[in-house]
Amino acid sequence: MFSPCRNPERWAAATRLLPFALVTVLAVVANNASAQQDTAAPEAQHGPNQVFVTGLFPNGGAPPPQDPIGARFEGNKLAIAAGEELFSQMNCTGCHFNGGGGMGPALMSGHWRYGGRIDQIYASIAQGRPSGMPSWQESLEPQQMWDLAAYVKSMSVAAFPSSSHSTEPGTSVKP
Amino acid sequence: MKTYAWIGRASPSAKAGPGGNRGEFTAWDPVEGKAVWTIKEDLPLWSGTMATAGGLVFYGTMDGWFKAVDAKTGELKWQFRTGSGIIGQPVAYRGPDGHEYVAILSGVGGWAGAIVAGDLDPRDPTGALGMNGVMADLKMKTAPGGTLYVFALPKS
Repeated sequence: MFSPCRNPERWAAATRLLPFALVTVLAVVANNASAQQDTAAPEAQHGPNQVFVTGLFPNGGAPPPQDPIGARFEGNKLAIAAGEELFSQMNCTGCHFNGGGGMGPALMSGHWRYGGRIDQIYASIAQGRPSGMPSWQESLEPQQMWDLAAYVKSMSVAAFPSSSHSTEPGTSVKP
Repeated sequence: MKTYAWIGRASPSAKAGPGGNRGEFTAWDPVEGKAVWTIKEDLPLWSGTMATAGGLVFYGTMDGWFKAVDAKTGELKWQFRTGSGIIGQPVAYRGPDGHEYVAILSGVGGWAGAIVAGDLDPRDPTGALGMNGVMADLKMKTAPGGTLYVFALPKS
């Protein structure tokens, strides 16, 4: 159904706006196109192989190559969204809050105790870590732990600047 | 696929009260039931306090200042910048040489100090049950530590 405006001035204004309307339609189409890529949710039936949690290797060896499975999850919007939901549902927020940390360490600071690669994050979730982090491999499927790892990985941003003193320690100042 | 209970998004928040200062040091008159003097402190006061027979009261701040104030008036008499925030308890004792010493542990921590001690990220104000939002500046004001400072009173 299309009925032109009876008011000619309005009709002229609408015609002038037509190119913008077309551009908007094109933009919506483009958005849908990029969203199409993310509808392909990555799947996994198992965790990564050979995850290391230290930068030390015997005889100056190199770290093992990353399991390609992790690359499918890293940066994937659907995996990150699913991981974010799990992050609340499994009460990860109870210790890590929204990435800033609390009882548990910060996850967005870029400082990693057991490695910040997505397969290392997976291993920390699956295996648990000392002093509080439980192991989740008995209660979560590998797919869910990959989603969680993708979300945790997505939180990480550049480190916060370290402290600075206005007055050097060890100084006595007269009031 | 398993299903899980919805626990909810953690979004606690906290902020400084009226006046904007996050701590204050108050001398109470328990008989009259009122404050005699009050020192407003920018950061929360997490340290213990100690009054001496010499008429001084000692306390420490979370940015590392160890302070001595006049017990009667609250006037600042002396302060010393230690290496880390103070949440410890000042102690005075008579040494084997018969002189008086004042000791304080410097090393920030506790709930309000967790942002430094636990290397939390101040960009998430909900962290540490909302204390991250209150203490977001502490990383710029002090560093983790663990040092015992002992001061000798002037020998007269």
